[in-house]
Amino acid sequence: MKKTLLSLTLSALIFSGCATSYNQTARYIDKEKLGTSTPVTLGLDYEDLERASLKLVNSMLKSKAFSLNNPNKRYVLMISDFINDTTQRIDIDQLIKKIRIALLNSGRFIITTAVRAGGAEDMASYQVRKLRKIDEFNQKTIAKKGEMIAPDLSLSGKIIQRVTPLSNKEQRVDYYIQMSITDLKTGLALWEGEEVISKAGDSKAAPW
Amino acid sequence: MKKTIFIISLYSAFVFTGCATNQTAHKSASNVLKTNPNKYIINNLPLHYKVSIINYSSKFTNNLLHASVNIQNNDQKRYFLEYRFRWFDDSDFEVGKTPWLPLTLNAREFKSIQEIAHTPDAEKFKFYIREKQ
Repeated sequence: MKKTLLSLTLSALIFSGCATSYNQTARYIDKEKLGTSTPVTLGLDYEDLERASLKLVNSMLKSKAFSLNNPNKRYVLMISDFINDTTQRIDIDQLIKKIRIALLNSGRFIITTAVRAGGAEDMASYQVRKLRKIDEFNQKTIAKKGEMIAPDLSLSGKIIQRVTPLSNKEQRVDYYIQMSITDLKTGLALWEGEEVISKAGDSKAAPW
Repeated sequence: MKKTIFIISLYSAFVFTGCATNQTAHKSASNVLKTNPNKYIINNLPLHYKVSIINYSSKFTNNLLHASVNIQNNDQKRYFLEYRFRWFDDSDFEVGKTPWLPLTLNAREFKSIQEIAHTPDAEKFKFYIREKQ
């Protein structure tokens, strides 16, 4: 009985200790602010990507290249190659997703997931077509040939990093986030944008 | 109005509302819309007399509400500020907002701040500015 009580007390102490330390270390971060707080790293962080994507989207939406006479027509946009020329491992979709959401919400663009550089983003469009001639499926509910819409435009980009040592035992890290929208019929770039993020910090700090 | 006042007291900031009121002409590309001077609000709060909103305007670019606010630092001191836009539809429902974005105003500096709504539902906007927090 004593052993049981002792073990129960010890367990309670251990668990309460864990709970306390967890509450003290974790907290939510205000995501309503962009670029106004002190940077936490020399690498690209959430605020950098969010702010860069906001500025690039604003530039895209203001561009006269995408004004349409017919307000019901939308440009079909595919996501093309994005090159990450930095020392950081960046999931490009972190940046692209924000842009895709904003472009879709603008009512001017639709993003295709059936075509993407390196293969379809969502294979389901092709998988359902494999159900043709399978008796188990009502054939009227399966997409017919020639129903997919080819993209009008493609979005491509590159992220470049440059590190420069400074005289005061610091280093400067510049990130260039560059994007282009190309008209796929003509191959001409209709819009191009660049956002530069510059940070400085201790030369011993790793920019990733 | 109640909501505006609430936000002012919360952020100790200027709040300014602009409205695209030209119902017949709106939605065509880049037409300059009328502004409603009755909706221009400045409260006598910490930033008042030091930083002022000179004027504002709005138009529709590519079917999206495009707002511009001209701001002036009347002081000899540099100010580190934050601003944001909130977007509303014609029923005054909020349909979008920007995060707080940084703005540095040097002594006596004039700046034009522009933002475009990300939804075609936006018909009006409110502009908020406060000292960096």
